[in-house]
Formats: sequence, C-alpha cells, structure tokens
Amino acid sequence: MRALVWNGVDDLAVETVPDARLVNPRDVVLRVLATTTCGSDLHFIDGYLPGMLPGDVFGHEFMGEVVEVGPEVRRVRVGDRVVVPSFIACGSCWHCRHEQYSLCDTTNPNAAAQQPLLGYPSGGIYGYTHPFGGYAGSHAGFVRVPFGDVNCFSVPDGVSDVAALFVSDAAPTGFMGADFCEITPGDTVAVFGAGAVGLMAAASARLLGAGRVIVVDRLPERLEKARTVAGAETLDYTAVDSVQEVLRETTGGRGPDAVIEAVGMEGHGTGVQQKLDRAKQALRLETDRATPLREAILACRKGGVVSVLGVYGLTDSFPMGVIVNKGLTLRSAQQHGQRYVPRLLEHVAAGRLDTAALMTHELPLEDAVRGYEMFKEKQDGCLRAVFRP
Amino acid sequence: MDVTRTARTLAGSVAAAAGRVRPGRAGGAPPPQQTLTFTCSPADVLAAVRDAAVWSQVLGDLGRAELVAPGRYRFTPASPADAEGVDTELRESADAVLFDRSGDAPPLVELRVLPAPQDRGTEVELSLDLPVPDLAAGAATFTVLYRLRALLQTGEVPTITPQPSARPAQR
Repeated sequence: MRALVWNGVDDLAVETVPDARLVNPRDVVLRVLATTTCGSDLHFIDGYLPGMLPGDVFGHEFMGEVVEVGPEVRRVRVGDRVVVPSFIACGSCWHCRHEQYSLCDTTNPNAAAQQPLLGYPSGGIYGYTHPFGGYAGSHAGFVRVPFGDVNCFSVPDGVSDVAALFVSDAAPTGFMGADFCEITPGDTVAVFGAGAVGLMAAASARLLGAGRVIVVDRLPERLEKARTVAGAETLDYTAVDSVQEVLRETTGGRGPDAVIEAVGMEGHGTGVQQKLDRAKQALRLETDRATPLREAILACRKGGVVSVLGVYGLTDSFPMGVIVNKGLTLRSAQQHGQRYVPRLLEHVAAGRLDTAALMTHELPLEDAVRGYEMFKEKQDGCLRAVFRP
Repeated sequence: MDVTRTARTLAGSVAAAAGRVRPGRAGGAPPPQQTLTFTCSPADVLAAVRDAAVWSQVLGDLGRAELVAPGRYRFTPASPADAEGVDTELRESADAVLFDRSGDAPPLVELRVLPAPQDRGTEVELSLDLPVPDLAAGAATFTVLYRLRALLQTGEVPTITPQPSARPAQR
C-alpha cells in the first residue's frame, strides 16, 4: 500500500510499504477513506519531539471502511463505515472503565520507554512517536485498529466521511476541553488558538451552555471560522497591546470563567518572553514556546478553570504562583475520545456541530507531503488538509 | 564543612549510579523490582504464572519458557541465538511464585501478589534476575509485567510486530 512516512526531521515521503494486517484476535483492519493533518504531528516533523524512526507511517486522525476483522471481534462487521479515536483503548482496564481512555493501561507496546518520562505510561496512539506505542498510522491505504469493538464507531448514514473524520480527534479533543471547564449556563469561555481543536472547543463550549465564547488567534481566516463555526467573538492578539487586559475589560473586570488553551509547544505570540522561548527552542535549550499557555493562566478569572489541550514537552517559566494565588483549577488530558464520539456523532448528524468546515484542502494521499507543507506554513488559509488514499 | 563525609557521600552516590548501569548486582543487591496493579484476583495471577505458555507469550521477543518436567521450567533468552536455557524449579506460597535456579543463585523470577485497596484488584511485584545492567533489567522487568497485565486483563499482548513501515527490512 502507499503511505506517508517520516524519514527524518522535515523529511517526509509517500512510499510503498507492506499492507496493514490483523495481528491480535480483536484487531480490525480499515481501508482508510479519509485521514488528516494534525498540529501535534508538526512537533516530530520539526524535530522537537524525539522518538520517531525513519520509515514510520504516521497520522492519527482518520475514518474508514472495515475490510477485515479478527476472530474475536463481535460487534464490528466488514463493510461498516467507522470513525476511530486517535488513542487506542482496551475497554477493560481500570482507566478505560473510568472513561479515561487515553490513559489505557494495556495498549502501549513501548510502555517501558515512556515510564521514565511520565512515571506511568499512557495508552498507545496511531502514527506517533515510539514512546506512545509506535503503532503504524493512518496516512496510508489501510490501518490496523486494535480492539476493534472498543475503538470503531459506526458513522450514521447522514454524516459525510469528512464530517466523521474530525470526530476522530479534533472534535472530541475540543469537546473534552470544554467539558473540563464545568460550564454553567451563561459562562464566558476564552479559547486560545483557532486551529481545528480550538474551533471545536469553542463550538463545544457553546453546546455546553456558554453565554460568550471568545477565540484568540492572529490569522484572519481562522478568526472568521471561529465566528461562523462556533458563533464566537474573536480577538486578534497582534492587534492589541495586552490580551489579558482586553479579556479583563470585556468581562467587567472579572476575567473569563474558563480558558481553554489549544495551541501547544510551537505557539506564537508577542513580547520578550516569546522571543526568548523561540531562541531557546531553536537552540534545543527548552522544548516549548509556551506563550499561549502562560497567557491563558494569566487571563483566567480567580477561581476559574484553565483547560490545556495543546501538546507540551517541558515548559520553562511556568507561572505556578499565578495558579496558586488565583486559586485556578488546571485540567488537561490527551483526548478520551471513546467517551465523547457517540454524542458528537449525534451533534453532527443533527446539524448542531459543523465538523466538515474544518477541512480547507482535500488532496490525494500522493500529495500528502505538499499537504503537510501547506498545513505547517498555513499557506492558502490551510486549516486542515484531508488526504484521500 | 565535613569534607570526608561529603566525599564519602559522593563516592557512595557514584557507586550506586554505576551499579545501575553495569552488569551484575553490586554487593548482592537484589534485582530491580517493578510493581503494577492488575484488575484480576491474586488467585488468577498466581494460576496464570504457573503456565509456561503464558511466560512465553509475555516474554515475546525477549525469550521463551517451557515446562520440562512437572514443576520444572526452562527459560531461554532470545539472544544470542545459541543461548542456553536456564533450568528452574517452581516454588509457591500463598502469595508468591518463584522460579529457583540451582545452587546459591537467587530466584530467576520472583512474583508476589497482594490484594489492592479499594477493590482495585491485585498488586503484583515482579523481579527478574537478568545478566544485564540494572537500567536495562528494570525496563525489561517492566515490559514483562506490563505485558502480563495486558494478557490477563484483555487476553492480548500489545504489539507492533509485524506492522507496515518503509524501513528497508520491511520493503
């Protein structure tokens, strides 16, 4: 099959690799119908996250058609059109039973490599670094899905492939971020970052009852999406002296009840700290440019919730004192998609959530290298490139 | 400042660190132990680890186990290819399974169980006395224990072998 592979830092290629196949008895193999870029891929493409091996097939946000099922698969059938969350869950460990699916205790084949970093290893993920399992990813003709009955969700007839695709990761990650905020009707929620996850977080905050949603970014086309997809107010951080000040003023001096950070380790920003972060990251003296995270913590009202969805390594100058003195609650996780996918598919089918709007470019898999370049450089207003194998 | 005491402390730290990266146990130190909580009962864990096939499954790329006579097990590492097996004898108690080697050598495998609090299942402690540096032994022990938990809880051992990649050996 053809697949997009990582051959080194900034070195991607579409190559021919062996077909994905069943390995364990509860595996399923999908023919990939749609697979998309994700900002978290850029961290290893750019060389900030170690743990990839040359030749790795990557990609973790996808949907497809079931073409093969293992002998112990009971629910999923060949021919089903399904969407699959990016983290692999077994459905039976303590964390899965508590709906903390990305923390699954049993699906990371390289858990020993991750344990020293995290203390306790996470679950496995498709097409990411080897400490996260090293599973082959979805930018390919076919993909193996372990525990098919737990991880495959049937797509309703009225939901398109593209709309279902983003229920794999961007939508559940965003929804989880909003869920963490414990929104009560009328709350004000600020979202830092208008990428796909930030937009889904903003739209989800609305679905969960927020009265005002304010999205902060710098790209006009993304801010426009925030207004149309999420019904959000927008704030261009490059057009103001202080985002904190604007948020404070527009909320009567209280600050947003919750702030969702949806940017991650390659964040942009303004000010001296951002320039310092950029220099230190370039010299590999720190892993993160964490300006949006710090801004989110500073912007949140006293006693509020900061929900962190961005992917980070080891952040310098983390304002712990602000968290303590403002009595903030900090919540974060990789997405527990299996918990949210069924209700998100209902929202999409009912027209309450527009996930398909996240796709700005549709390309054949053969053009995936160009797709990642467009995505990384935000060329032509690229929000998400979708590949069709 | 007590220079002598500081120097001794420093030397002790260096020796301890060296012990973690060099093969063999310094001064008869016990092999590294790893502990995980399983959702299944202590009895289920102890029953499973009497089965050589279970050990072969969780050792996977690390080696294999076979029952050579009642109560006698042979563990053979995967590398080097001509590695000889280690013969062991099963020793059991109410809360432990040990695979003893002959002579004065400590058990090759020592697995102990105790009920976990809050109905969380079983805390399982595993030590493998492997002829590798402690850091590697600790990682290998964790891998085996993680696989054992996965097998007992899901019926499967997580693996990425085989899987597609563009590495030359797989083209």
